[in-house]
Formats: sequence, C-alpha cells, structure tokens
Amino acid sequence: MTAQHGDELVGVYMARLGAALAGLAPERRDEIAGEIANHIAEERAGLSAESDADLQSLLERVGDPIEIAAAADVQVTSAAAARTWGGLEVAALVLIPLFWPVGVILLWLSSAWRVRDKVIGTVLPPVGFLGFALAGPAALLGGGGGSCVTESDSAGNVIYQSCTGVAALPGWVQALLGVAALAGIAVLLVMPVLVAIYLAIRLRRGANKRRAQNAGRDERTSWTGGSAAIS
Amino acid sequence: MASAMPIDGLATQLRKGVIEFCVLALLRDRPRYGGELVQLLRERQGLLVSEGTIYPLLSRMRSEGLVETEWSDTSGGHPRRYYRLSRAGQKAVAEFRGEWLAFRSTVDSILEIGGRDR
Repeated sequence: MTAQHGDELVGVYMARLGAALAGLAPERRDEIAGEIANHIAEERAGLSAESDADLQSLLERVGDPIEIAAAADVQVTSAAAARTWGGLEVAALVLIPLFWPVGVILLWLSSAWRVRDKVIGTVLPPVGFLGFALAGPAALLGGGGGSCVTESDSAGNVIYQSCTGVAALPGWVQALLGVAALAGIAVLLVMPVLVAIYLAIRLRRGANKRRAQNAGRDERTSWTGGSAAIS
Repeated sequence: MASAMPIDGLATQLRKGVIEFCVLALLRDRPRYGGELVQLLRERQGLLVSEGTIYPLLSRMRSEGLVETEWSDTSGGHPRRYYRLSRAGQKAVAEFRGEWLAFRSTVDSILEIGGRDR
C-alpha cells in the first residue's frame, strides 16, 4: 500500500469523525478531532511497514466515529444539565427586574431557556417600566387631579368650593379611579419580577427534564456526585 | 437496573462508571499525553474498548477542571498535549478510591456469603 492510500484511508476516517462530531461546539470538536488525528499519526509512525490491514486494524482500535461521538454527546448533555444553574442564569434572573438592559443580554446569551421564554423575558419587563412612566399622571388622577378653589370665612368654614377636572367628579368615582390606577400600576411594576419568577420556573423544569433523560444512560454522574449513589 | 441486562451490557456499564477515575489515577505520578494513556489502558484488558473515546473523556475532564493541559514540543515530532492532574482531580481520585474500596468490599462480601445469615 502506498503512503498516499494510507492518507486517504485516514482522511475518510477523519471526515466521518468530523461529521459525527458535528453537533458539538466547534472548540470541543476541534480539540477531540485534533487529538485523535495526532493519535493516529503517532500510531502510524510506529508501524514498521504500513499495510492496508495494519491501518484498518489501527483505525478499528481507535473506534467507530459514531461511538466516539456518543461518548462526547453524553458528556455534553450532562455538562448542559450541570450548567443549568450557572452564574449566568442567576445573574440574568436577578438583573431582569433590577437592570433589564443587561439582564436581557444575559438571557439571550444563556442556552438554558427556549426562544419563546427569551422573547417573554424581552418583551414583558419593559411593560413594567411603562408603569413608572404612567405612575406620575395616574397618581395625579387617583390622588386628586384637577383643582378646587375654596373660600372660607374667618371662622374656617367653607362657604364656597368650585372644582374642575377629576376633582369635580363625585367622591366614589374618584376613589374607584384611584384604586384602578394603583392596581394597574402595581401589576405593571411587578411585571419584571413576575417574568423573573416565570423564567426561574422554566429553568427548573428544563433541568428536571434533562436530569430524567440522563438518569437512564449517564450513571457516571452518580459517581462524580461523591456519594455512592448506585442503586 | 434492568434485570435482564446482557452480560456485555453490564461490562459496558461498569466500565463507564470507573474509566474516568482510572484515567485520573494514571495521571497521579506525572503528566501524560493521550497516546500514553491509551497504551497504559491497553495493557489492562477491558477498560477501554474504542481507544478514541478517551479523547472526549479527557476533553470533558479538562472543561470540568479535573485535568489541566499543556503542549510540549517533542523535538522534531508532533507537539503533544500533556494532561496533568489538577487539585480537584487529585481530590476526585482520592474520593473515588474511598468509595470504591467500600463498594468493592460490600459486593465481595455479598458474593461470597450469597446473602446467607452469618
């Protein structure tokens, strides 16, 4: 067999490996493929006369690319499950109510949420900030917008009162408006907090689901947990 | 565990549980490169079937901080990535060793007495 044919065999193997590892992050894929390419090159250098059969059995020992990818895959899912409660997600949850512009960036950086949840986290909290903008006029409305001109006599008794605007409405209407406005503002103001709570629930649900999926095939994690969790 | 697990499936499960710690233990004395680890495991039957699967394992242990890597220039040849045990890795090996010894003696005692009252 020529060296060129050998290179071709290795090339085909590496192409299959690359395809099998396609689901991984590029950095990880390059690391694994690079190490295996090195491994194969060193083993080849150790062969005295490289025969077709030698090279075939070498590649067979290295293993089926699918099997290697499966070993990488299991680890990816367990790493993702571990990452579910990482600092990034906690920071996003804290910052969405407190400082939404940064919180929303962290939200989109995280891979722990589905796109739908990210959209909710992006769209709904600003509605709460609208609450701040409305709080001023609404407070005026509830707390006696409009004005009254009152004249009192020297003893302090009201002898004349003329009101305009909201203040001209009957007292119970004013009270109702005030309550409605306050309730509306309250909902708007707690919206970012509600969204953060919703996102935290989604996070936990995702983690549970992934844990259940891994439980069957990733016993390795029970070892690394430190306790002998073999049941 | 499934009651009707085929015996080779059982071997796979057992291997999966310990291979990571065996690799870490092989790094206790000094840093080694991938091919060297494969060579050492090849001498010990039944731990590593597809040799290439050690690289995803090493990659993950690196991202978990159990091992650290550095490139070494071997004169003329390929640069090799050497894997070194981190402090967390040393701790993991020590913990596993304790678990394993206790686990092994439990299983051994059950296998030997067959569950009879002593």
